Amino acid sequence: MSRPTASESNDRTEWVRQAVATHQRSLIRYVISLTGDSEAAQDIAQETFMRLCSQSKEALESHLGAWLFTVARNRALDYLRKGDRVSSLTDAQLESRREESPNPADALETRETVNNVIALIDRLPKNQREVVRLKFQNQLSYQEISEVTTLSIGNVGFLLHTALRTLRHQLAQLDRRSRPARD
Amino acid sequence: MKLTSHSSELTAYALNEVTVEERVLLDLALAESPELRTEIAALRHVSHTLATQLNLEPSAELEPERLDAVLKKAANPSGSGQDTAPAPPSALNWFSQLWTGLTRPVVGFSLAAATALSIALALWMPWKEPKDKALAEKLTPQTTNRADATPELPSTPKAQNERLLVSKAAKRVAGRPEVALDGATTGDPQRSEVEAIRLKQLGAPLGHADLQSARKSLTDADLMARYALQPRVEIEGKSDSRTTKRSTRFEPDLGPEFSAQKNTFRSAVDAPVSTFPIKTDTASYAEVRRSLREGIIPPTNAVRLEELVNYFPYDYALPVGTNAFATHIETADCPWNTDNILVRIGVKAREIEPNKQLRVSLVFLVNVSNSMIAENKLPLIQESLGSLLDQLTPRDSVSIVTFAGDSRVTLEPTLVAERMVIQKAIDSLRAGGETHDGTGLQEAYAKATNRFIRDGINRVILCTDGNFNRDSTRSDELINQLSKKTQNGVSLSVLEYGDQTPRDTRAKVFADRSGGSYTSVDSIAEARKVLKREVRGPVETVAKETKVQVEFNPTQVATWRLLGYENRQPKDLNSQTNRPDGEDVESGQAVTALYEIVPLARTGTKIDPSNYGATTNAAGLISKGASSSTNRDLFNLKVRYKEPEGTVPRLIQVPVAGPSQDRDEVAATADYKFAAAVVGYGLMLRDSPMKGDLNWEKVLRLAEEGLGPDREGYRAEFIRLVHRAKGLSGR
Repeated sequence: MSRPTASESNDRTEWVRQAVATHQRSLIRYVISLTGDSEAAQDIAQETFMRLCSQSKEALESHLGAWLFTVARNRALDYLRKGDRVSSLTDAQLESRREESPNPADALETRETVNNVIALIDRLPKNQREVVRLKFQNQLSYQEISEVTTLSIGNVGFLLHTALRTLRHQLAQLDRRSRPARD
Repeated sequence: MKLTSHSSELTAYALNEVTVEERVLLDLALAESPELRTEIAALRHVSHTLATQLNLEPSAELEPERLDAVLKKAANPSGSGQDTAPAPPSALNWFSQLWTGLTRPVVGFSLAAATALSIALALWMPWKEPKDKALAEKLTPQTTNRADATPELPSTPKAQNERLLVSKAAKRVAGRPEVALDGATTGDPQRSEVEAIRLKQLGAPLGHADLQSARKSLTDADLMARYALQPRVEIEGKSDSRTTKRSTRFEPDLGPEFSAQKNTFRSAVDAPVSTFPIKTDTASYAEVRRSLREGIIPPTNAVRLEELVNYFPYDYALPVGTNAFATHIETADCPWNTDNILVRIGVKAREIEPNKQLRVSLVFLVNVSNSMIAENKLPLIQESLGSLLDQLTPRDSVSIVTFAGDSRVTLEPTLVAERMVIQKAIDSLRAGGETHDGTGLQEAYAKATNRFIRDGINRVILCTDGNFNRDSTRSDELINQLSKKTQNGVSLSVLEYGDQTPRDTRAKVFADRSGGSYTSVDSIAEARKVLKREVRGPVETVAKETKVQVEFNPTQVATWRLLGYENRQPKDLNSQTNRPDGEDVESGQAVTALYEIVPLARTGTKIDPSNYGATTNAAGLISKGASSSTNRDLFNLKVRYKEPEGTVPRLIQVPVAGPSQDRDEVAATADYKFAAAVVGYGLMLRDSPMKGDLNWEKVLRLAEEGLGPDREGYRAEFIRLVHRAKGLSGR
């Protein structure tokens, strides 16, 4: 390594600052979607960015987003394993909530679309829910989602496909209900 | 490949998660199966909804104390990074005083000098976990664990310097809103440094309150970024008020010069000759689409009929023999006024065999930082990229990488055959990222280089404004990279948008140094010209001095009007000399024009053609026939031109009769109906008094009947827009 300079340190601070500015919202949103705990999400996001500080910028290069999501996800899983979360629903709870309302469109009819769509996503099985968020909220590629979740690329494709088909039918149902007739 | 509508390959395809090779195979499968195409459209629709809604979901930023801690750690990766902002160290006072009086560049230099030692040592450490813990501890002040705890007073100059650096980083955050709010990169980190130092000098610790305000500003900046559309919406909002106004009355928003040129019906006696240009813009279509997508009926003068109609490709056969042009004319009863005849005229130029054309792979690196919000920046880029697609072949591919603070692949390499996908990606570009320092660009470039094709034309097109790549070190690195790539057959074009003086901007310097071409772009026409040239090289001209004329037969036609082309109409339509030069026409160029004609027979008036001898002679129509009374033609279409290298005038002349009564019902082709639908859509949007008994249902019916094979998906998109316009207009 060549002799480091002050400007390299400025670079690093700048790099991290930009990484925070660019990714903090999506990262925190993602962690909240995993843990259901916004305080924990702050902790995890901070820890993730702290870890970024000791990474090689060159090695991450075009890979930064996926790296941040991977680290944050692992931290989130650690956190969930420790069982010290307070507010989030367990998968079992989510499953049962899903079953209570066999036709989610019925229950959601009166709410706004944005809530509807997110509510529908939240009712997907956990792994589908996560890939949907990573893909459509965070614009990760199949490859990157595969890195983050350790699922195979084929599996990612399958989960997204299944989720899209489900959501498509549910959204169509919602659409029909909220818009009685075209003419 | 065996595909059903349940195959997950379809989702991958819809999401652009297939390789170029896979895409080709899937394209073939899709071409054969309308069912699969429907499936793809549905999947894309859902994807779009999900992306839109998920991005509306609220989120939070990192709390300021946490940001502070992270930035400290960044400044000193090997340390524990938990230190907080310190009180001003007295040992630094002499330094501060010096700084106060100095000019900014010198400040930057002094700061660098002051921090050089500690940072050099800090950075010398490996990025991973520090192996030499003792050294790390020597370099790093002892810290408290909580970010909001009382800071320990600094004990060594090194520690003080590190704290300075942290404060600087924090102040930079505070400095950013300037960048966002005035829409240009005016936030000057060095000035922020000075401010941070002044604060220190005054004895004000850069503590929680500062960070709070920094955070607040950050939030503002981010809000700006998130709602980057706002300025445009405001503009549209103004238009909207006009729209509301105009919806009660016919087009009051046009200036007198515009209104005067509105095409109304003209007598075939007084004005027997009409012309239209062979080259048309198509920008109005995108403008209208954008407006409708934002939920606003576009202002009347944004709706230009000929631009809407010519946005779409039509199935025009190429000329045969030695003719440079083929003409395609169709007449039928006018859908919104069955007393009238609607004529569609298509003129298609010869195509030079594209056999020697190599496949083109374009990678657009688009700056989407805050400063790009201005109308003449990102929106112009979007418009020009959209029109560039017309100039590519289906085998070419396009990808888009955006950069601001970091980079993002907005569009994986996509064959132009999948035009709607590309268009959607272009439409989705939004300015509002961090102002960049080159990292994003560098990343974007790395992404771009992974996407080149082997035996074709690879070109990186950097679209940016002048606020560009302010970090000269990174710029140098990148220029080195680019120069190497350029030697490997990858070429670079730098397009600078906005109304800067092109001399000596960073973008220009960058282009010069990296061996790329540079162009300053300030209008759509310029953008289109440049992109065409940059991508294909000069396009072959197939005809020059070309003029298209329609000469009406006053024994058959009472009145006529040309739909669209309002401000392009020559003032005196009788004059054949108003465009002495004519136009140069490029390979494969096509134009579609529509005329609404009131046939004399349907007005119940009898006209003696001999009364109009002089005029008809000028039109060259009646005098041609031995007996004018036997000439049943509605009009004569003439295309005059010269071969590109020739001097001999050439003339293509086509007499056109009205629709024959017995085949009226079945006559209209899909292309005709579709073109009529597009014009109808324009008339409805303009709430034109000429729209007869037209309504949205009729427009939809025409469009649906005119859908045709619609390989590129344009027409399906149009139908969606009609639905949307219908909903917005409440009719």
